[in-house]
Amino acid sequence: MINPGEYFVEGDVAAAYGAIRAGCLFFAGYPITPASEITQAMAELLPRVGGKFLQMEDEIASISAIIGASWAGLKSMTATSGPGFSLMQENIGYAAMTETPIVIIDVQRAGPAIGQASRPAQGDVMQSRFGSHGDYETIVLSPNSVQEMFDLTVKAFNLSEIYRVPVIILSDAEVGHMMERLVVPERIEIVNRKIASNFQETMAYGENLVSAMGRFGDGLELMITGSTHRPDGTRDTGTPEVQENLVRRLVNKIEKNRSSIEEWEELYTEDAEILVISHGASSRPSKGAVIRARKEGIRAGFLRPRVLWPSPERRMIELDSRVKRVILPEMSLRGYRMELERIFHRKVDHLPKVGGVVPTVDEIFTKIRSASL
Amino acid sequence: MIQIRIGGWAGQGVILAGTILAETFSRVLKKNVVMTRSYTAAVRSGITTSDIIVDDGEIYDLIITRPDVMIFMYQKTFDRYIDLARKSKYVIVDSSLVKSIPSDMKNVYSIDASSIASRISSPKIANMVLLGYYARITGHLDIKDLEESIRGTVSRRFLDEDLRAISAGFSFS
Amino acid sequence: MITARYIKENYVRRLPSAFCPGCGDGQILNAIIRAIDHLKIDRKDIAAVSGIGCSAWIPSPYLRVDSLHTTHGRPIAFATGLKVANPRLKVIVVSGDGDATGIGGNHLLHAARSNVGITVIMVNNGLYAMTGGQVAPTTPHEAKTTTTPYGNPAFSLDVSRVVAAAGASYVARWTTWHMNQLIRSIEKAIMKKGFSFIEVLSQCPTYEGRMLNMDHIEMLEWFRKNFREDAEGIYKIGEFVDIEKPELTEELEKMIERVRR
Repeated sequence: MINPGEYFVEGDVAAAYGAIRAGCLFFAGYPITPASEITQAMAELLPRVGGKFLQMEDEIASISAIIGASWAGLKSMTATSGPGFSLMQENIGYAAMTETPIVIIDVQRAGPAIGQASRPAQGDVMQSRFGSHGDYETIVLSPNSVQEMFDLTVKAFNLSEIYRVPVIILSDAEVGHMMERLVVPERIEIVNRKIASNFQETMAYGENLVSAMGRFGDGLELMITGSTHRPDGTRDTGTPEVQENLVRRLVNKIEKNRSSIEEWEELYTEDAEILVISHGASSRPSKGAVIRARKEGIRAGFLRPRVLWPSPERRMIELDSRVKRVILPEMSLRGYRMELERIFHRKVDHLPKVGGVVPTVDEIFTKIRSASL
Repeated sequence: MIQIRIGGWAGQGVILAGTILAETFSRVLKKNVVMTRSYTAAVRSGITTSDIIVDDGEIYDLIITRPDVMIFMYQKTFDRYIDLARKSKYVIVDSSLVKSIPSDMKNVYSIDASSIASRISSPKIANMVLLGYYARITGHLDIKDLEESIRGTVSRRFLDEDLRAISAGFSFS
Repeated sequence: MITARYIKENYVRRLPSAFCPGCGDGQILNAIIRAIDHLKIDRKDIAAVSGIGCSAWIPSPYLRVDSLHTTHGRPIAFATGLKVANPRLKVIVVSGDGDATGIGGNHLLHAARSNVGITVIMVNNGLYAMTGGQVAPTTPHEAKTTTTPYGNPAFSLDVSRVVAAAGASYVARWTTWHMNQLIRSIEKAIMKKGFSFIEVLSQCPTYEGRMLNMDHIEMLEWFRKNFREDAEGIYKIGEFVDIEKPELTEELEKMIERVRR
């Protein structure tokens, strides 16, 4: 199933291929443009590998079902777009609190509300990180090609299995619906969660602050709750230290491991004075614009987080001393801007595009050139 | 680099034609190709376009900015993109569906693809006639490349009439 | 003979419970345990799922099986994923009337429709108790609650009838007065292949009792007098549906086998 070789498919389908190769055996979803193609592909592929597909009554039920399936031991995924992603927020927090590995693909469309259903946007950047209430951390990946829809879906499963967190793939209608060549490699690195063989192991946190995961049906008498709980699962909402220890560990298991989670692409950054940072579909023309600027003698550099959250903060701080201007082209009025301004401690030259259209090399190049004058 | 836009109305096979063309460049000619599409959420209404960008190197622009070819199967779509069409090297139109064309546009190549398609089987395969005509006019690819591509993608039931449609488009003069 | 000690040693994580004095939830926990014990099902083959509300505490933290205490209104959707992912599990959802029919009503309908082989025990006390006695979809017309201080202007839902109409394989309604019937009913529901649903009218002396000016004994007495197999509407108790029909996880397994062949 999904043999090594070359395919010419759209991004949504590539994500489904990636999920299958990563060992996903359960998918629950609800139709929504522009993510339905993922759901349809999973409906077709999963039964062929002995996996289970459910179309649920809504997006809340979808994420609920994949969390349930994950506790039965199966790698599980759902896919949606803005309106459905909003509905899923409560249970993203639940998955974070209960340390349930799940993968959620948000194929972003232009909002707010119904917006432009089939047009791309990047307005869910903050929501993907902060959408659920309370303190928690997730990992958010940002693919910019059909190939990366495959690669990063595999990576999303691996990260969710290692850190026992919900991992979000923040795609957009452009990348989800574009068709490109996909190369499925011979060897793919797959990580499977460590399943606890006794109850003690579920409370034994490793150096990375993660413990082995129990599985329903194994006789461990697991007590899983979204309420504040002690390491053994006992609900304890009255003891301040219990809440503090739990929430700090949930946050720290990402924060303290960020160097092994962060991933980015960069180009011409050694001597860059103008740094163009972009993500997802907008990063394609951004890179093209930087290359054109270099040809015209402008000292421009390019940085693209493949892992959007946690952001590649240390690398950005390293570049900060040399860089005079930071340009952020993206399909949103807010997008990643607050995070960059937090890291760089200054105003970022934001180049937002909000018509549901990807920026062009021309537009971004014009901005770089005017910044260089 | 080659930039192509196919534009029409939902249900005319715009996306299918774009996919076949993109696959031909990718699979048969081993080029780097990005195909994007634009349509409204409802299945059978609204302007639909399919953009194909072909390059030997990495592709950065995801939408058409300097079109080489624009193929139109619907008047409203032509009207919407007329400014871009003026800059295009070639503009190919189905003359039974795009009738109002400014006389100062010298880059327009008309073919009555719908009628030709109807004579073969049905107007549904006008998109294939246009692909054949496109190959002939631009020389971007050979009709053999197109034929090889659709043999691998189109279901056997439609293969014969699609091949005839492409051939009819290619030999139109 | 099932003694209190036997139950405590084998099925309960800890006691005393946090339920209010006279609450029906302890009786329902007792009934679930007795049904499991009669059936001699290995506890590791049982998964209990609940949402938010007083009755959600029946399985979590008290019932000593794998338990998933989920978000408000969603236990049936979580349970569906769990069951489909591991059909060997006997999945029991314990949900309140607000959880199952207010915020989570959609999931209840669709679980019944798709006939997924889980058991839902809906504890119906006619209001939202945990949050302080607010009006629920099951609160009778004109009843006073903390959010209907002048009486409920809306009308109540006959949940069992709705679930039966939605396609459940097993539907029954009892009260905490009818303990023997309830235990036997839970046994049948757990063993039922398809979706099974039991509505249990349960006394909430703290809020419902205060509104009705009754203590828990008087409320049980009221259940005894008014809820009968020959009564009408919401007061009718008994088994309403008990049929065999194709079940979701089995159909999925068959489909997978067909596709892979």
